[in-house]
Amino acid sequence: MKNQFEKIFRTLQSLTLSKREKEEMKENLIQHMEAQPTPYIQSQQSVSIFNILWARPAMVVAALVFVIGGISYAAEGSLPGDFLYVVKTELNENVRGAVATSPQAKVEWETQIAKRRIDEVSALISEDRLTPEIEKKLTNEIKGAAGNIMQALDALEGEGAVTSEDYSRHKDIIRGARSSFADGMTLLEEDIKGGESELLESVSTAIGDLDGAIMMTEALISEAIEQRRLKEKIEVKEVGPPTSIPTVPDLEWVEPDKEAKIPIEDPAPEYNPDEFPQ
Amino acid sequence: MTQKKFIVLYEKNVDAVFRFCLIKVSDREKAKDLAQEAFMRVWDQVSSGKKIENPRAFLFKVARNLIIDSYRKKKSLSLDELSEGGFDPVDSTFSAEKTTDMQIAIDLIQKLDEGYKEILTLRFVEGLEPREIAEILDMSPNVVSVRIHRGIDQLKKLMKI
Repeated sequence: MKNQFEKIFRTLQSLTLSKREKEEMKENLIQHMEAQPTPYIQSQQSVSIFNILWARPAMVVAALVFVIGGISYAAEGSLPGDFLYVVKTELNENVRGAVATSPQAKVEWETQIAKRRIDEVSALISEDRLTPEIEKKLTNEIKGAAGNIMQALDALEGEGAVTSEDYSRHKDIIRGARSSFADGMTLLEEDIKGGESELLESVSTAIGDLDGAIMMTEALISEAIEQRRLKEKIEVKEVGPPTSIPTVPDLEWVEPDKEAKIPIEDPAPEYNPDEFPQ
Repeated sequence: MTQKKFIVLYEKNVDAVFRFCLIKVSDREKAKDLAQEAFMRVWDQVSSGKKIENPRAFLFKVARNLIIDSYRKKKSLSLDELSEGGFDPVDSTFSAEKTTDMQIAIDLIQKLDEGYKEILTLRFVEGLEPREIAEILDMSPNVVSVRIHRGIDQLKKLMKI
């Protein structure tokens, strides 16, 4: 049977371009590359003895980081029952979980946790390694993650998010979580055919809870929009036409000088009867 | 990445990217254009200073996105329709026996569900690791492994073995 598969895939591997086609494409690519050369050139640092000596402890640290990082990376693909699974859950996930401090980050992280557990169940089923004990443990963890998501959502509410934009962002986060759970449900339904499963039930409950949270957030968005509309209406009233008469600015009263003479710069000419005949 | 290194990347992967496109679009000329475009797009990213961790995986990812875009623009004709119109994805220089084998292999792969088709092609024809496939398809490696198993089951049924 293996040979039959190999034959199919080997046959497909012989689907290639001709030498001429490859050359033509290469020429086109070179033309494109020359029209758009690499604009950045990495700077070459001068290497001195000091740098090399200084680099040694750093190299040791780098090597350690590399080894630890390698183990941590390798553990990411492990499944319950594998040697490295404990590194995945106790080290990698705890570190990443500790970084998620805001309620938003917590919702996103708990969603990731639930998704990881669902993927593990699915992978274990396909490898025929899912025992009732592991299933129970993973079901509890999925339930725990779903519960933590709801708690983090409560914390989001408590943060005093009042604008409709804030609630819209929350809604996007919850929708993301809901979509992950729904994907997981689809995957598990394909695997767990027939019969009742506590695992499916817990994922289904989480989806229901998140649907409720989405509806609640939608109501809060409408409420926030309504409140903003009312507030704007009140503000318009406050800056409407004035009700009191504006006061005239005070003028300083100056006492008149009674002896002061009004200067007559251009006195009227004296009357001369000769000028005007009777 | 220098131009010289990029050309090495091209020479090592051009057949694989072309094949991946051909299995998806069933049109040799279109597959050539898509593969060419994928290399140019990746170069554009490289030349703009983008750091690419795994150029091979990134190349397949770009090619896949281009295929999806081309589907959106115009739904591609199926392999049967193309064959009826005188189209043959197989190289005309192949022997009669090889052409028959190739046609059988292509027919089987085409009959797989879309999700299994590309995963099995990437895994067994191109030899990519589940981790790399996960990167290309934006999935977790575990889901890729599950799909590989299911794809093989479906292929077994199609081959009646």
